[in-house]
Amino acid sequence: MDKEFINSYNDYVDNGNAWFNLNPLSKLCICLCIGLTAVVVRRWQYGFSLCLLYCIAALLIGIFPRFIKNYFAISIILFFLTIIVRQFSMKEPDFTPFINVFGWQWYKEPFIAALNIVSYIMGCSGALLIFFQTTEMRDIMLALENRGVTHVASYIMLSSMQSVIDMRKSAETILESQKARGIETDGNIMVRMKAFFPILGPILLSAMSGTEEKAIAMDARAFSHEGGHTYLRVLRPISKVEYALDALAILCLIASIVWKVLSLTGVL
Amino acid sequence: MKKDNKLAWFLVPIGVAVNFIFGTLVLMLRLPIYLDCAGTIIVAALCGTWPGVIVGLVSNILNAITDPGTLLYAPLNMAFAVLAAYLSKKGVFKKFVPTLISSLGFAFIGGVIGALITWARFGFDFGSGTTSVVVLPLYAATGLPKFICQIIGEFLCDLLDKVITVVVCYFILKAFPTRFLSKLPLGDIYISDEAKALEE
Repeated sequence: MDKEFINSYNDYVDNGNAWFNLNPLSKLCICLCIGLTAVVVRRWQYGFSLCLLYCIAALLIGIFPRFIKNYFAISIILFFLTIIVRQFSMKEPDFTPFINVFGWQWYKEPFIAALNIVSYIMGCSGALLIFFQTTEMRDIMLALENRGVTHVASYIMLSSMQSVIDMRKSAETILESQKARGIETDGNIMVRMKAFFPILGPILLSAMSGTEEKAIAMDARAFSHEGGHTYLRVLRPISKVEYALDALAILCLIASIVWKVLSLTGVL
Repeated sequence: MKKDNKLAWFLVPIGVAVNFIFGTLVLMLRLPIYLDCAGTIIVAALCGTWPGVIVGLVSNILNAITDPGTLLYAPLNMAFAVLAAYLSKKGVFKKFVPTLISSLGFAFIGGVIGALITWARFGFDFGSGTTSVVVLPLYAATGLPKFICQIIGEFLCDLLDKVITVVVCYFILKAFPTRFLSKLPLGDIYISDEAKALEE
């Protein structure tokens, strides 16, 4: 037997760089705490600074193109819609005129309120996006299992991800097959609606029949066994540096809460 | 007959995939609906509250990978599961008209819980989703309190989607093979009287 091959399963998971290799739970702690500071502070200056920080971090980690594409997609509509909606929803006579957009007078206060909201949502989303883009779901679930979460949770999570991929493929195949059989998938809304059901049936029934087989196959592989399980991946134990980073992130969150309380009570 | 509760847990990933795929399919066919909770309702109706709640939660967690904001709306999907399991036990999804009426309940949950979440998320003011197309003119025309407008807007936007969702779920539940239904915790409800008589 090839020893190198066997040992490859005993080594710690190596994902390429230091950030990727952090334990998923410490990474989640860091990202969540930083993201929550944006929710607590709710100032556009802070929120947008965080967004810039995320972009720099994504560049350093090596996920910039993927990150910016996704971040841009979830932020752009939110950004413009919130600004426009606030101009309609906040109306007071003493608001300060700000700019005139093709004859439509915008006011400063609703504009700032919109920026504060968008920046906190983007500030929080960005941190979680970095977490999800740099952590594999199987590593998150393995870290949770190491902390005592049941293996059924891991199965549900990972199998759901795989099922989505499998079912999307089968949906495309069935859609093409039904088109080939002559079912109209283009045309007015009623025509498209009618096409919907002949596609649903085969997708669901094939998935359901697969479920029963999967249940038997999993049981044959001791899925329901209550004893310890073995893993093909081994996560690096949480180092002291990681604990320090987690503590720092929690401190940042506490500091932001203190700052918020003091500024709300008028001390700052 | 002994119920295989494990099978219920194996159905959870299918429920999650159905939530996603129906969403993709309506996009492919360019239909003006979401259908993103059909999997939650089907699993809750067949397997009970908890598997349904898990489907709702997992669907939102997987959605959060590309849009973390959707995580906030997980309670919505979970509440749909609780209602679906309750209605299923009452036999609502066995008949077409009660099923159709149940869409009001789902739309109400979507309206109230959805509005509460949106309200809190957007600093206790109008949200900036697709519902703002209904909410803003409603607010301008009626002058009702903003929160009430948000609830009405979300309810109206949700209603059409939920009517189609429950109709789809009704036909899917009807199409399930008896052999499979008999193994699921709430499957007995959907086994036809003829099939039961045949078994006896």
